[in-house]
Amino acid sequence: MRPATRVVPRAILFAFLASCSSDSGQRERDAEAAGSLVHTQRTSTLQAGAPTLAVYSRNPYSGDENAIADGRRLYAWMNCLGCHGELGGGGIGPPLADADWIYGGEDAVIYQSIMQGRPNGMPTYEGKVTPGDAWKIAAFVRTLSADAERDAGQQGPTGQGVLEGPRK
Amino acid sequence: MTGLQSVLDPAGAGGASIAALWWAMFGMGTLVFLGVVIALFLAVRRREGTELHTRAGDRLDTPDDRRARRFVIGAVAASLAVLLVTFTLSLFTSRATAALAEDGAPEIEVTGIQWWWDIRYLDSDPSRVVRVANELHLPAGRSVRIKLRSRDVIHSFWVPSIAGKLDVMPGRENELWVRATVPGTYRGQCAEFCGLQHAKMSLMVVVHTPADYEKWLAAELQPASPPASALAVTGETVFMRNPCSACHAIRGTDAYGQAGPDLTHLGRRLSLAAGELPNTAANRAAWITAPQEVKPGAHMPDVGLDPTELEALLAYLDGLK
Repeated sequence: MRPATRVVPRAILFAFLASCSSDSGQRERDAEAAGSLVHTQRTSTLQAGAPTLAVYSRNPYSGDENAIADGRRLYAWMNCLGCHGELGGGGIGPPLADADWIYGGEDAVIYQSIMQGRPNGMPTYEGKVTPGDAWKIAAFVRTLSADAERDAGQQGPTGQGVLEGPRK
Repeated sequence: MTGLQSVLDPAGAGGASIAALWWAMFGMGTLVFLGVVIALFLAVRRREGTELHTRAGDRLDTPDDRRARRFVIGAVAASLAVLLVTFTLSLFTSRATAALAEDGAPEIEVTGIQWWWDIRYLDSDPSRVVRVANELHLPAGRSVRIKLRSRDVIHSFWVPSIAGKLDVMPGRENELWVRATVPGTYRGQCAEFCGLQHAKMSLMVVVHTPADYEKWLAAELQPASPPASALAVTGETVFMRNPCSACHAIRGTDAYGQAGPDLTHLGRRLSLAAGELPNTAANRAAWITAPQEVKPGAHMPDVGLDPTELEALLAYLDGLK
């Protein structure tokens, strides 16, 4: 067994390197591993719900401004805002504007949450929206949390405060 | 000068004053044009030897100078008079089009949406509110208060035969009083560029005699007729189980979506997709199967029904009279 005096500095170095990473996906995974999220203490990489749909691993509308604008409209028309708030602030349902995803924040998982619903209140929208429209809603939902890490007063997923300096 | 959508073929009080102003301005414009042409002709035919002082510092005191000066003063005075008369006439026209307010007039809320018109006949009793799409029915000879709202961008409500044009602004309510006078069918058009399908955002206006209007309103108040055949019953299920019911309402059923037009009495409508297609069975099929080809960019999605579902759905929609 190695002495603690050698392991601890290494761990700190690791944490520092991880915090320097500019890849936001990497940061989210780091955050999950660190269990630093408010609502979920992750103890395994297993995920609640049915297996992720493999149709698209990536949203076909991701980054398409026109589709995102349509998604914003559909988000209101399908009354997503009734539970999740107009700008994803949450209410009856969980907020969508933070970096916290109960079932994972991948495009396909958001799509799956919309189409198949989730326990404790999220209804299924299969048969209520077309698959294309569901992807548009997912694209819009993804933009709600785009700035979550930069919001004032919030801790970044790596545990770093926003005032400690700009990150890429 | 006649037609469904013509300023010069008025069928309403506001439209009539605007048409009168148009003719007055046209007459005056014609006179001014003739005057200018005659002046030009005289200038070209100016007699030989006329001497005008045109350099700076010259004294303008020859008889020709004085004649020219009188002519210029006269022309400026005539122009002023023409402008003043036009201005006064347009003031009176504005006054006439705004003076249609009347106590106890029916209130209609018209909402501009990319790219169709949602029309609600308001009533203090919520169960008597009628919702139709792209079709404004008016009683002849009565003032009607139209509240104009927008759900997305700036539109403009314009039914030239009946009244003047008024912008439809998001976030505020504009008010337009109209009084249709001649029963008939007219056409209106969004008059402010509002996106891809702006050109195909029209509405039909049907002016009834007051008795017919009451009959129409009473019929619209009825819930949808239940499906009459086995196929139509299947069609109703198709409608309810597919995204159709998430956006469209059919009063008397479980479909209460508000994003798209109310389809309760679809069979009575003149057109589909905001005046884009005549309302026939074939066009209903086309609009449902290929909305993005009929009206690219419209918010009606292709739901992807299979042919048997489509057949049943069309049978159901045919029964919505």
